[in-house]
Order: sequence, then structure tokens, then C-alpha cells
Amino acid sequence: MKTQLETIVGKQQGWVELRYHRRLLNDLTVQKGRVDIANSTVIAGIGVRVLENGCWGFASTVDLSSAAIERAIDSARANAREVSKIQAKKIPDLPATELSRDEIVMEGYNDLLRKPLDEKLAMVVDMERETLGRSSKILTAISSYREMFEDKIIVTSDGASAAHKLVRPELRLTAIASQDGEQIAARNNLGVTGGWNCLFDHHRAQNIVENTAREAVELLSAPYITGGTATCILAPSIVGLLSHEAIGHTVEADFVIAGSVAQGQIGKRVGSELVTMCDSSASELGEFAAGEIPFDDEGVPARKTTIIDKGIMKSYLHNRESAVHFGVEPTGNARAWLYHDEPLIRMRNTYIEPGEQTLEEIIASTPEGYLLMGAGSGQADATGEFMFGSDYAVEIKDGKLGKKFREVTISGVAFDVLKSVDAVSSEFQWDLGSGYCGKGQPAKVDAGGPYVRCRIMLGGRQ
Amino acid sequence: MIDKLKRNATAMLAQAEKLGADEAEVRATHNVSARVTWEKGDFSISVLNTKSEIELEVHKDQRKGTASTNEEGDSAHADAAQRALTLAKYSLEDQYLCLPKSQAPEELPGRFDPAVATLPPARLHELAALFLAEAKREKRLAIDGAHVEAEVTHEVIANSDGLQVSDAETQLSWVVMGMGKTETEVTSFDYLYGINWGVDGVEDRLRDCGRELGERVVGCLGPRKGESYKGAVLLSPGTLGDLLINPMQFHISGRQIMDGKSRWDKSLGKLVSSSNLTLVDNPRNLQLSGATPYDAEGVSASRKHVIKDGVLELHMDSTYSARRRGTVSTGHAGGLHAIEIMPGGKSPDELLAAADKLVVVDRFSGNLDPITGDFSGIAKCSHYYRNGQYQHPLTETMIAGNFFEMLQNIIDLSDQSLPWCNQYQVPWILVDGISVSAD
Repeated sequence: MKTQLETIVGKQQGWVELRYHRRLLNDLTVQKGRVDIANSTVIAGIGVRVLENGCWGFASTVDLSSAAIERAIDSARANAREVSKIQAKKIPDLPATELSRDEIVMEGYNDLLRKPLDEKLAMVVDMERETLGRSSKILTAISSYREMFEDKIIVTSDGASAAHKLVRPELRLTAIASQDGEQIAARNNLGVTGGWNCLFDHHRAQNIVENTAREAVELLSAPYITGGTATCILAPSIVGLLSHEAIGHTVEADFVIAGSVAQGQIGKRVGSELVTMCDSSASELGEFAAGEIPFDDEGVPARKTTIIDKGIMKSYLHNRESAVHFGVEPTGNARAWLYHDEPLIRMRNTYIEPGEQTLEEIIASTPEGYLLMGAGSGQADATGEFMFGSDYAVEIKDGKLGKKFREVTISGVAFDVLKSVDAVSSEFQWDLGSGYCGKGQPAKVDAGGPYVRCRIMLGGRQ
Repeated sequence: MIDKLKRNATAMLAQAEKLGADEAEVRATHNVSARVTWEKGDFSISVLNTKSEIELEVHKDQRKGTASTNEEGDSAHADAAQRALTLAKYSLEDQYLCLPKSQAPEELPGRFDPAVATLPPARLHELAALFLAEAKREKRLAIDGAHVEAEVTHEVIANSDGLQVSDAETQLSWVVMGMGKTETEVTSFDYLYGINWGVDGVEDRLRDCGRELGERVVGCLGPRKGESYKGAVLLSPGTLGDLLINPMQFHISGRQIMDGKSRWDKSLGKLVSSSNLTLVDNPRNLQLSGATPYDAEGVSASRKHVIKDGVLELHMDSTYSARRRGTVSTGHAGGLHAIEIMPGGKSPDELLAAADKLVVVDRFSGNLDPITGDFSGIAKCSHYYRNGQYQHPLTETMIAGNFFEMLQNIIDLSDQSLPWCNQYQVPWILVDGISVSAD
């Protein structure tokens, strides 16, 4: 296939990008002793992007014959010519940059492909049954396993010719506890880039059944938190969500150009000196982060980008086009969800670097506040104002942990929260590997960090 | 195209039977879409996609497996059938597995316009230019992204029990997302979207959408914090999906009822909300994008009251959940179709003057746990009123409450129910007992 794409591109004039993508997605979900989902999906095709008359044109085909691919190129060219009639500012030619010519099969791909489906399903069935059996208060358990095998080939007319195969398995467990007509859910979800062993080496996979069931039962009797601004220690999953949602999106260069709050902030202080934040296509500081990619969907090789260095904003996240706009090198952030999606600027693995104190030391030095655990879904906008859920909060009084409070929503303005950071722990975890980022298309990402103490607003019901 | 999809579906059913399936269901779709996108202050790309997919569900020895593929050819289809059978083999036995019997859904004309199916690319680009030109009249609107898309979709659903239904629709759809921006300030982002089944009237709707987003975000410039209180808030149509319709859908779902997760499992015929709430699922409402002749497994869809004068009238079921619960399908495989909430009797001004402190929530950015009904999040693009007098737009203001309590605390509804982004047809709703945090 790669040779076929190289031959086709070799015959073309101007800038052309061909991206073959085949995904095999297996999904298994069990609840109430029945298999709700046992699904296997294959979706494959070729996305064609051209730069003609200073404009992008895109088309796709599921027919992999050379003639069909060439017809798709013609359609993409026609689209580019059409949009050039209404697009005011033309895109300059893309300057030469380092492009990948690697062929990579990432760890776990072949092993997981060979592992029989019945073993995977048996694990999901056992996990549901065991969770249900942990307590008479557990009304329902839902266990899910998903694996996404990704085969990609990128060939461009200016030198990229790269292929990779990788797999991202995910595990999800929900326990719903019930008492006196009240129900509450506890969840443990995880995902990695890698094989079966990588998935079960993840910290959330350890004692997942016991932890999920216990948490659901404990939260049944937990009260609601009082709303207002408080000193909080954020768990790594929430630090990851803060890094991704509240800051990461504002530094995506397309969003910066559109007018995000990060516009004009390069070189300026946006956080305390304790904050260094990065986005990487690799798994620094911990293995098998779920957003790993060896090269992006423009063929730009994997690299790490330091977004904030000791509180000072250093870089935005770029594709090849935005890198030209800002006069910098591309950062390898162009990603497309499926063959028929055009690459957009997306994050990969986003995190805050660890500090020097232990979590115990930070708790001990907190007179009053909360330890917030477990990230729920989150949203942020152009102002940097964000909102996301936390699974539960643990009260801190006089340096000691106290009672638990049930699910809480937290919010703030990203750079204000970063400036309020006064303690960063030495522990580090990737902890959003089961998550998907949404920006017109989904993207598989990960995020994480250490424990971080800051001031943040809590949404309460009192 | 429908004939081709029918042939593919029939061949796939035969393939499943040949490999040993006891019964099978197939959904075959074909979609062509052309889209023009705006980003970074200008048009950015023009896209043409042709997609097709065939999805298969098989039952073998009372065990279920599903598979799908977009790869073409007999071998790809045989591979999908084999994958579904393999999954069924390893699956757990479920004596309730079943498929719907043959159906003859009433046709729903008005959703296919040949002019969209044959829309020249130049005309699509012209519509996109018109859309963005109107939005850009407001200089303080920074458009983050927008697109206009023309789509043609054909679908066939068939099963081994003799059901075969088909449908075709065209859509012109659009979305614009942006924020208010001055030299010193950026507002929260906001967005609007919509669809037209055909080309008639689309230019006016695009202009209206572009103009409305500008007015909305500019109205949010200069925000301040409000006051903390527990009391009334006015929910805009755009918030009702998250705060009212989604959790309601959860608790009327036959699937959630059979799993013991619904709080409304024994509530049919009982008051579940204030008596001023009447909510209807109307799949024949062509103003809403969910309009359809049948549900996700080909069972006829028809207009039904969900809540009438506060009384719950519907538990919604697919063929499977109906069999589990000893009832019949309501044509809701895949969920509700097109929600209408009946208007109330108060004008917008009367609603604004109904409380001494009032947050008008235009967009909700937060979480709602459908099981507990608890919700909490930021009141985005929202505004503060005191004694009916407008004060200012809001920032950093959170609202929190509970879905079940909120239904009991509906004070009133506005006197008009309009299609919001072609998603729901709903009024503004004034509710009490909501915690507002603005510390």
C-alpha cells in the first residue's frame, strides 16, 4: 500500500497528502449478567488533501484502487479551486521540515491482535460479576473493554512516507450502589497505548473491582459540599483535565489565531513558578500514555512541546500551516480521527511536570481545604474559564484528611488558577487514558500530572 | 441507491444465515457530503466525502454479536458476518433476544430535496459566503469556526423476520461558533446551528443564524459576578437538553427500567412534575432534525405524549426491552426522536419580573448525574436581573440543583415554543430552588 501511494503521489503536481487509515474496533460491555455490546467494526479508506491556489481541498475514498485514489485527488483539487474563490488570505507554500519515513509497529499491537476474543470477553464478564458480588448495596455493575487497532500510512509529495500500527485498549468499570431509594455511581476508567499487560499494569487497574465497589458504597452516605472558593489539592487526573481542557485548548494555534485568551501571551507569566506544562506525543514520566503517536497525520515526527516553562508561556501547539503563520517549527499536533477527516490541531499527552514535595507533605501543610479525586467530564472556553466534575472530595482540616463529600463540580479561570499554585507533588500519573477529546472530530488523548495545590471554585448545593 | 442497499442488505442476511445465524438484522447506509469550513478568520477547506457502511446483528443459540464494515466486496462482508458470529459464540445466553416483525411505517415526505442532492459546489460555497458575511457584520464577533454542509443519505434496514424499510433524506446544515472580542476582552464562546431539508428558505435561515450569534456574544461583553442565592433561574431553550430532556429520557427508558436504574419505573400515570409541564415526542415534526418515519430497528415512530399536565404517560421501549418487560415496542430503539414542550402563559417580560433575583441561563456548561439527578455547572452566556430590571452579563457564576426537584419547581413557561437549532421545540422555563454560587 505504501509503495502504491508513493507511486501515485510521484505523478502529481503541487502539494499532495495521502493518508491510508484502517481501524479495527472491538467493543465488549456486560451488565446485569448479559452482554449488551459485543461489536466489531472495521472502517478504512484514504483521505486526500491538496494545497492548490493557496487553499486546502479534501476528499476521501473507500475504494483503494489507484484509479479511485486519483479520482479523489481530482475532487480535492476541484474543491481547493472552488474555495479559493471565496478564501481571502491564501496559504503560502509549506516550507521544508523534518518528515518521517519510519515504519513502526508499536508495543502490544501483535500480541493483542493474537489474544482470543473469548479471553477478553471472559475478563469483562468476571469483572461485572465480581463487582456485583462485593456488596449487597451494589445494584448494578457495568464492565466494558474496548480495543482500537490503528493502521496508518502517510505519504506527502514533499517527503513524508511513514507507516505505523498501534493499539489502544481501554477498560471501564462502573458500580451503582443503592440504599433507601437513593442511587450513586462510582467509576474507574483507564486506557493506554500498548498491549494487554500495559493495560493491567496501569495504576487504576490495580484492585479495580474492590476500589470501584467500595467507593460507590461509601459515597451513598457522603454529603454535598458547600459551594464557594477553596484551597484544593487536585489529583493527577484533575490536573490532567485542567492541563487539557482549560489551558491546552487555548494554546492550539488555530484557536489562538481565532482569538483565544492565550493570544499574545508568549513570553508572559501565566502561572506560578512551580508550573511547567507540556504536550508530548511520547510517554514521558510514565509509560504507555493513551495519546502516543510516533508521527502526526502530516508525517511530522513525534516530539515534546513545553507550553509553559516555570510559569512563563513558551509555545503554542502547531500543525505545518500554523507553524508558518507564527514562524516556528511544527510541533507534530496535526491529527485526524478517521480517514475521511482532515487533520486538525489536537493535543496528545498533556501534563504538568512533577515537583519536589510529597502528597503527604502538601496535605500536612494545608490548614483547611479539600483533596479532589477523580476527573469527570470537563469543558473550557476562549476566556480560559473552565468547568469539570470531580468524583469526590475529601475534607482537609489542620493538615489531616477528614470526611468524604460526593461528586463536586469545580470551575475557575485557567491562568488565575495556575497563578495560585503553591505546591506541586513529586508523584506523577497518566490518568485520562480512557478519555476522548472533542473538537468537531474525536481524538484519543491522555493527560496527567502530579498533585497540585491551588485556589479553585467549588459548585455546591448549599 | 436504495435498490443497491437493499441488494447488499439481502446478501448480508443470506451470508449470516449461511454461516449459521438463527436470525439477523442489517442496516445499510450510503452518505455523500460536501462541506465548506471557516477557521482562523477565513474559509479554510472544502471537503467532499462519500461514505457507506453495513452493520449486522446476529443471534445464534440465543447469543448476540454485532459487526460492521465500510470495506466493499463479498469478502469484506463475509468477514464482518464471521466476526459477528464469533462474538455471538462467546457471548452470554439471553433468552429475550428478538427482532421486530415486518413493519409498514407511514412515509414522512418533505425531507428529500433533489436540489440539495444535485447542489453545485459553487452554490454551496456561495451559501457559506453569505452565512459568514452576515455574521461578520458584527465586528466584535470573533468567529472560531463555522461550516455549511450539504448531505444526501440513503438507508435500508432489513431483518430475517421479513422487515425491510428504507428512507432517504437530504440536509443542508450549518454551525457557527464564536466569542465576543474587543481590544481588552474575550467573552465565553457560544454557538448556533441548524438544518434545512431543502434549499427553500435556507438563505434567510443562514442570515438569521449568523446575525443572532453576533447579538448573543456581544450581549455578554462586560460581564461581572452576580450574587449567591438559592431561588429562581430562567432556563433558555439551549439549556433544556442537558438539564431536562436528557435525564428525562434516561428515566423513561425501558432499558433503564429493566435494569432497576430508573426512578420512574412505577410512575406511569403519576405526577412527576409540576402540572404546567406537557412534553411530546413528535417524530413527524419537520421543523426538528429528529423527524423520522421509523426508529433505529425499523419500527414505526409516531407522536406520543411523554408527560401530560405533569403526569408521566410514556415508558419508551425497543423490541428487546419491551420483551424483557412484557410489553410492546413504542418505536424508540435509539431513544426519543423530536421533543416538543408545550408553551405556558407568560410573556418573557413577565417571567423576568417573577423573582427579585434572577439568573437567566443561556448555556449550561456542567455535569448532570442522570441517576441521582444532581447537576452543577457554569451559567455561560448568562445574565442577571433584579426585580425585572436587567443588571449585567455574568461571569464565574455556577448553578446547582437536582433534576427531580427542579421538575416539581417549575414556576411557569413562556408563551412561545420555538424550534431551538432544529433540535427541540421548547419554551423558556422558570424554575425555583436552584443554588447560584458567585463567590
